[in-house]
Amino acid sequence: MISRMDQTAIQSGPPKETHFTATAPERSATTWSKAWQETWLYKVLRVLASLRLTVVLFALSFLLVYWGTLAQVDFGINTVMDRYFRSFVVKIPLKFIVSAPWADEEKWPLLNQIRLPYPGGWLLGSLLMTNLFSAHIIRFKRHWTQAGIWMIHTGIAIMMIGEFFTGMYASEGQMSILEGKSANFLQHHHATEFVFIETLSAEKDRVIVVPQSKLRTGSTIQSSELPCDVTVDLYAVNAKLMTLKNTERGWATAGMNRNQKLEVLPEGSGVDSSSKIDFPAAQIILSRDGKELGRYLFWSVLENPDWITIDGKKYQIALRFQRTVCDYVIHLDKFTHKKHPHSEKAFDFRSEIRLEDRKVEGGKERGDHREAAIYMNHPMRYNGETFYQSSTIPDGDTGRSIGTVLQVVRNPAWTFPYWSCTIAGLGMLFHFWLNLSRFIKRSA
Amino acid sequence: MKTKFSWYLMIAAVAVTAASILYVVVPRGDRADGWHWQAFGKIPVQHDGRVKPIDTLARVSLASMSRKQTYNNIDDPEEFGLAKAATPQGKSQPAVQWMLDVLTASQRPFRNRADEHTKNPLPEELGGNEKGTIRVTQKELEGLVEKAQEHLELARASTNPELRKEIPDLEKYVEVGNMAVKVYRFIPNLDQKVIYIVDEELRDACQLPARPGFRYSYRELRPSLGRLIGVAQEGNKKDSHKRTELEKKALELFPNLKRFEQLTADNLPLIPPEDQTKLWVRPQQAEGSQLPGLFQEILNAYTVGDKDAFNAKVDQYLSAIRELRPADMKTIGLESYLSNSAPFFWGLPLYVFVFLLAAGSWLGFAFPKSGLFEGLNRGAYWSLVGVFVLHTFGLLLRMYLQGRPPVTNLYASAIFIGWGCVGLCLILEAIPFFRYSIALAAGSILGFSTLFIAYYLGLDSDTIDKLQAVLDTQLWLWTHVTCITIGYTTMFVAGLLGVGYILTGVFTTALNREGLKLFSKVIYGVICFAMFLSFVGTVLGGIWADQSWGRFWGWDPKENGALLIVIWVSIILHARWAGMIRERGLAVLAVFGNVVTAWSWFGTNLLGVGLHSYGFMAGAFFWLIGFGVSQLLIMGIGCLPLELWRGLQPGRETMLRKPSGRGQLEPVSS
Repeated sequence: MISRMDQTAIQSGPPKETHFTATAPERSATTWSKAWQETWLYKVLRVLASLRLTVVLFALSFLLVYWGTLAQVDFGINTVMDRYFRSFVVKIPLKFIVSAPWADEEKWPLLNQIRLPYPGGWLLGSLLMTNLFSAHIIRFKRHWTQAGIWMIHTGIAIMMIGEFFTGMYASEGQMSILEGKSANFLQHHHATEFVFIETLSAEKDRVIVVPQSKLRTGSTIQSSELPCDVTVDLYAVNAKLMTLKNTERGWATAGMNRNQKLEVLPEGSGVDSSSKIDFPAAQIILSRDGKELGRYLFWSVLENPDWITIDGKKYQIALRFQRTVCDYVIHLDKFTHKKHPHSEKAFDFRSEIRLEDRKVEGGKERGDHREAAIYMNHPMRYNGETFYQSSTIPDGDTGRSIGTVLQVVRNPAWTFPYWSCTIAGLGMLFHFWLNLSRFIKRSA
Repeated sequence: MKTKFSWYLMIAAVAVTAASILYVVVPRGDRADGWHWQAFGKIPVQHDGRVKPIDTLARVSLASMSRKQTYNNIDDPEEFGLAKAATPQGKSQPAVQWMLDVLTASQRPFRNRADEHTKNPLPEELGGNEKGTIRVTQKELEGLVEKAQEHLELARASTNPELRKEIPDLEKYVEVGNMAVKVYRFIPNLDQKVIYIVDEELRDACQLPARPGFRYSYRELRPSLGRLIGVAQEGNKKDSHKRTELEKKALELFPNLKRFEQLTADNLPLIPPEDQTKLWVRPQQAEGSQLPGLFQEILNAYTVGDKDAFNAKVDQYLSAIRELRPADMKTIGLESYLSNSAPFFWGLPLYVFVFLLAAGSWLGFAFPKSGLFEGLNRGAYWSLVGVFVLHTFGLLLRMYLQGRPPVTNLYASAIFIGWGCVGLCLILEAIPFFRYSIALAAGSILGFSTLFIAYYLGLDSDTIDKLQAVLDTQLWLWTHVTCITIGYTTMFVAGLLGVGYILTGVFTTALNREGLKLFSKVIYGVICFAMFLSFVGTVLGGIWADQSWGRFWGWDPKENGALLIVIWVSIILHARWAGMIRERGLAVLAVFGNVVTAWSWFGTNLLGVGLHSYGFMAGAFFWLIGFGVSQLLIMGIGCLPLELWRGLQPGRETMLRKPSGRGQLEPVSS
């Protein structure tokens, strides 16, 4: 089977020779291919197509995935994804490299502070793709016995491209709806924004947004669009507010949170089973023409905004999770949260909803209406977006579920994995069947 | 078969296995003490999401506290008023009997040091004496306090100075009595030494002495509970992996104590409602049912030690409930049979037996003419087939009871991985040129280790539990979970064969170059299957995730674990195709596959060490590291220069000839 494998699967010669020399005599049959083999492109591709390079890249990927998993002891899944898997270079703390994710900063400062640069997911992914394409250009035979390998590799390529597109273009948000109420916007828990909201009419607001990318500790944001200057004294990715004790003096001088103080919390980790989300908070100084208007303390959890009047205009100001306003409204008719008998284990979460599409097309509303039940493993797909049952809104006092949280995902590449696994799966079946039948024939 | 001796050996081996299997599957009666414990165990109760035999509840409750499914009576039972029905001191008793002890605790007169709970000793009228000790039952105590209350009210209402003089005494009496009643109402049995605390730090914190078995009573623990609660609360504020060891241990302890406190007869939903869709109710909530009364009579009979009344009442109870819920009682009967026959537990010694047979057959290489190898090899093969059938029987029974695909929780995954490994090894041993007993040894080792892991996982919780809503899908449990688990199976088989290859090649001359080459081909074939199954399983998992959460791949620890297996197998296969590794390298890398798979199976759960990685999982960390180190050692041995491999010394003939006509191997007589 060993030798047979060498002839059929991937053209690798006897171990001592380099694997591509084995194919050379066959290819040199025509003058065209001889000429091709003397071009610099071929020579470059030959290096890029090396099977040894494949193995090295696999080994590097193996370690990246391993360390990227350990890193989730310390960091949230989104941070890890951005740093390790959706990046070109990642700096990995020594403690992950030596498989000691629990090493404390205080006890083991060096393990935490020393960081080694390492190829990130996108770099390894593109190298693997290059390697794969080059190999198929110069190394693989175009023969029916090779169909399995071609299919497997096509499938893998589609999957990697799909993951790339997902990383680039997919977006997701949460829509929280109380039972009997409606909602028309998504919240994105991975990003916050600082907003000034001016009420224009009963139906219309003007919202001026400072995105999270600008909200860095120590930065001042000045713009003619803004009613005043915004200085970020402190921005914390995860924090909570605590009520001041009698003797303490707060940082804030204005706003509802004057009697509160900010306590910075560690970023939620990816392996924490409670899958809590981080709630950012900020200490912000508003000023105009160098004159301080007030020091405010904001927390993304609080729904009630502060108010400020500048130049006679009244604005709501708030730090909140980034929002996207949708073209549709979803009304939650009924939410069911069933538990197994005499147990706290959830048996069913189910949102019965009505969707009204209010997108204006050609002067009138699209006006699509639909009713659906969204429950575990049973999402609703509508107009390129998919709605999943994500969690519940518990009542503060009784703990009873009074509303639903839907996860809304838009991923233009969502079909890629389906194509990928169909093609690769069939390819594997074909290839292993081919080899197994040969093996059995030979043994018989 | 080569000789008569071979036949005898094989028949003897198979006979022993068959007899043991029969012993396991034929329903075993109760202990010969005349009490119908098993019948009592069949009483149904709705608990944690499903209707189950009270036996299961008893086993799970006992095991989660004491890490054992039987209770060892280390004290003199008479101390606790248990004299009549109790198991003698020093003997172990079934979980249901322990449960009866707990349920009837409030009915028995018990020794009670009242001054542990109140500053003042109980008044003498309440049974207190100078040592502050009383001997009354819970009910009697409540009665006495009630009577004292009545007297107190009379005295208060009266104008008689004699009576009024008693008021201060009576007030104290009622106060102290009420406190004692309260304490005992919520604690089923203070004195059973049932709470397993092996951790030294935790024991020191509770000022408990080390003793054999490390099991302590609630009474011993009580004085330190306040401090422990403080420790646990401190731990609860922190991120799970930043907790100190003591905080973790304290947090693990409290769910057990809570479970213990909830085990009272008044608390169990024993009574089925007439409406099938409604919840079962607790005895005191049931209206118009004869069952609560009957259950109480069973408990009474146990308390006074009346064996015949106990058995009769249990039968009466069961037939009454059988009329109400015939379908439930059928599955209850099967579940009770499964826990009492315990095929997975008895599989452990049987797998050891098969391993011994397989290892014994290797002695046959030293005596090629004796037929020792053939006899023991065939004996081991058919014995393993028998144990496999037993394993399958248990697995199918579990699936039937749960109404689910084979793998629904970690326990089930261990059972299923073991099953798959043994099945695959049986197939491999059937390959004519691979009949060396190696696959048999591998199969029995894997069968044993997975059932051993399952045994410890089974102590943590109900093994036929209900699923979380997100897992509630037959389709994905059948496809993704089954596929990925068989993927683990093939990885472990390949890894163990790798270990076999290295050990055989380095330390023995049993296989020469030719034999090792064939061995390597088998490993390669298994790895190809592993590739296919792990890849398909992982992708199916992605599709499930896309269906239920809206993302195909989320880079979360469990997903990454699966991906690591796929990448590792890809490394092995591509390195082989690139000529970077050959037979030996294949074996060495396959051994590392064991580490990758074990990490994927358990390691990812350990990253979140905290509340739910309770008990076994904390210990699992140690074992996982140990396993990893052992595999690395074997890989190190595999990397020894080929000159040191005894099997590769030049000029050696193979021990075994190529298959003869009927596919049987003949040791070469050299």
